[in-house]
Amino acid sequence: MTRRSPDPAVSLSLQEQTSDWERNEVASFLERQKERKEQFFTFGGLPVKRTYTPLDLEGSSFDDIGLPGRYPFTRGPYPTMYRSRNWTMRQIAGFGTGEDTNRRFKYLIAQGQTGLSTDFDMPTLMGYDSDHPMSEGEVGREGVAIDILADMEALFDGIDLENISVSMTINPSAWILLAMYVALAQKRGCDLNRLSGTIQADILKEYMAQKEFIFPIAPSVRLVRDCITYCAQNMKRYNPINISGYHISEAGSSPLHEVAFTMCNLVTYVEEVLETGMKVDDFAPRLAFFFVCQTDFFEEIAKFRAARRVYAKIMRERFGAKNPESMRLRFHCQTAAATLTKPQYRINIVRTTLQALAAVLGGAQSLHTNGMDEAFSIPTEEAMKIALRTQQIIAEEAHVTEVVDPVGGSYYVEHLTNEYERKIFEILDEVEANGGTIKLIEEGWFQRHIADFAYEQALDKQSGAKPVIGVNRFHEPDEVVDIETHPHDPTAERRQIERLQRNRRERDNARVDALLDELVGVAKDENRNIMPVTIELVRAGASMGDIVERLKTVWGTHREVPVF
Amino acid sequence: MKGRAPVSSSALVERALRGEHAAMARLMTRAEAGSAECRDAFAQLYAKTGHAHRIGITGVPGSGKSTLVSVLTRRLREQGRRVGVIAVDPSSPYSGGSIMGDRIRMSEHVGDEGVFIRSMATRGAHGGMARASLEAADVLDAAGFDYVIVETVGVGQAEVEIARAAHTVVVVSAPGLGDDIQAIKAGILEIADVHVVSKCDRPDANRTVSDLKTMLAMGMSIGPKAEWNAPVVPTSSARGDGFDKLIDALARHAQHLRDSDAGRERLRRIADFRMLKTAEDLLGERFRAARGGELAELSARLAERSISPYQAAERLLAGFTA
Repeated sequence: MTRRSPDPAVSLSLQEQTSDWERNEVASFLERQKERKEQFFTFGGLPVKRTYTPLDLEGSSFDDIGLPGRYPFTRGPYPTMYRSRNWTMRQIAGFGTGEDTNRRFKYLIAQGQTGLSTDFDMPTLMGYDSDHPMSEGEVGREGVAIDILADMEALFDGIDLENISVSMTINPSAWILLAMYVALAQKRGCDLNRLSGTIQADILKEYMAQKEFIFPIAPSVRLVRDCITYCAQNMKRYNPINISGYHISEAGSSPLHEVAFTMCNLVTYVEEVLETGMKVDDFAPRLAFFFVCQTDFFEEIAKFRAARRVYAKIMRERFGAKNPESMRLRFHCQTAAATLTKPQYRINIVRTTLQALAAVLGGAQSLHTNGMDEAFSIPTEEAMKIALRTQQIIAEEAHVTEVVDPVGGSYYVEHLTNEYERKIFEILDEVEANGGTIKLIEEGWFQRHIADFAYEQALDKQSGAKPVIGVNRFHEPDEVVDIETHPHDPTAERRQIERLQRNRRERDNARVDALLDELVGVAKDENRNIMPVTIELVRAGASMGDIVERLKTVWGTHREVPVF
Repeated sequence: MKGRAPVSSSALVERALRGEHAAMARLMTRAEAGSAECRDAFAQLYAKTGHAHRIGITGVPGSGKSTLVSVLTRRLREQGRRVGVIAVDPSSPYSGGSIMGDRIRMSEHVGDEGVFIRSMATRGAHGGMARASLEAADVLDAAGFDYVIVETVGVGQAEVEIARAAHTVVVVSAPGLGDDIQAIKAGILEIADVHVVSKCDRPDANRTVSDLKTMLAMGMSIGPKAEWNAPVVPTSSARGDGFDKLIDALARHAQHLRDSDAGRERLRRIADFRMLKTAEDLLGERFRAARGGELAELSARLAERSISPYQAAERLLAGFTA
């Protein structure tokens, strides 16, 4: 970072003013009343001073803050931000079969939602068919069950894919869902280059945090690469990856590690794609991110601003990007599910509102606000409506969208942004010096940092050092929980399996077998892209399980043996 | 034995209280033998205890307990503290599990008056092991050692109970042990006041620390304020890392015991344990003296299945008064 020395005269007098203030006003106040704590910290553990002045920005220049839509994009990826278009209000949904979730999608669109986001059930996330013994009891429970192309058709029935962006929270089996999405769009005669949306497909954070993986790391990263290169060539508006800090945070990490580890993963993916000979500017414009918005209001805003600046610098300085589109970080944001409580669950609306406001002040492109009942189960329609209304109030009533980066220039926020940037680069350097992201994942280095912070948080919540309203503060022991949760439909599993098995009977099995053999050939050849044959497979009626099971015979699986 | 009459135990106590290592060692030998002659002397000694911070250290074989104890001892010595170590561990280097290990790990403390290391014979002597090793710890406590460390292997109820009869219980986990070993460990994690993950110079220690913390965090209940949460302290004996934190954790736990009801409860639990273990010893001894003759006969009949275990036991107990 370039450091500009401030005007010594101004700085000196400010220094004197500050010392004078501490000796007089502050000292006499402290004599009468001590501060609540000896030392104050951000949620992430950074020490925080009583107040901030230009002295705290010494050494940084206005170039680091800059202007919105211009390098280093601290203030936002676009010059006009919400003055042109609000963020995409994208409530995630998924349960039962494609038909069941389709009804929820249509309800949310009717309520004013502007993007779709899909949650899949555990079997789909892990690449099992609904009639696999491992799937029993899980089909459609925590997300929608998708086995075959027909399920995808039901999921998006009556929804115009060229005019709404669709995000899919899917990782180790992401490329199969992308193949189904492509096959569906082609069947409907859509132009692939007009489709917008995202698959999460960030497998590295699975090994670090969420632990939903199928294959070993190397072939898994290759699948990510194939999605990125396929989309760069065929789907100009589609985000082939959502490099995600959210799950790192939900696994318990600090906000700093959330962003820093996400950037480690970014570097790994970019290097992997560059290996294929593709130019950075050919794919980087479609890289997208996903962060949580945690509870520390200003720290989160600073986190998002720092993430944009770090990304811009990595892409330009490290990878030599020339196109500004390759340097502007765009992110989806979700409020922090792990902050929600069962006791006095209605107050989760307030938590979520504050987190959502920080996400908007931090410049999110897309936002999911959690339902008040998400500590219990997947949300009801009513809970989702209130969550969506929360976003609409922020967008339409609060007047926070009229000015781009309204907190920019705050001594505190700018200082925190600088601190975050510095620390993120330090972590990137440390990871590099110790052998790189994949080696350190294998050694459990990231996992260890996540567990350390999670453990401290758990201790602090238990001791009361970290207040949780309604739980360790203002607890109501006699509270009667009167919540009505989303009911699980016990017929979903049967309905799903019937369609899957009918499909197996009716498809051309010889063709599926031939394509599966071809798939094995592609899988064994590192230089080929797995997307085209997968699209052929899903079109021919192959299920997710058919594809995954066959690939397991080539690549094997990744296992983590528990230590305790 | 010609010449000198054996020194009386009470004379040994006098000398042990003055800090004579030889006297302490002989008292410990008498504690192991459990001879009736030394009971009054031990009573005299017991009255002088209660000043040392007693630390039980346990963990599965191969978890690096002995090396940890050695480094911990060195660090405490550097702070000018006197440290006594009782090793109740058949695999311990001090008890002959590894003579080389003994030399390498503990030779640095030879000749230091502020350190006393004693291994207790455990093989074939399970009866009385708890009583004897805790009496040995009493000797060190009464002799003015600041810390008395009792190291036991965390396999087997008897060994684990001995470690639990301490003010602060340290459970040592280590990376890279086999699944079967890890399974044994699961049972002792819950007794920890302080968790140590040793060998943290190894990269795979990350997994051990994170899995342990994740598991402990999941078991925590948010809400009513917990009195003490066992901290997880990563150490590396090879590099000497983490020992300041360990010593701090030990001190904080001692402070917690002083400041809360937990301290009184802990002392009562230890007293219960010692009383019952000593009673068991006494009972066994008197029983064998009174009914020893019948044992062989009843055993034979039991083996022939002419009586049941319950019937045999009832007959043994009939008429027995301690």
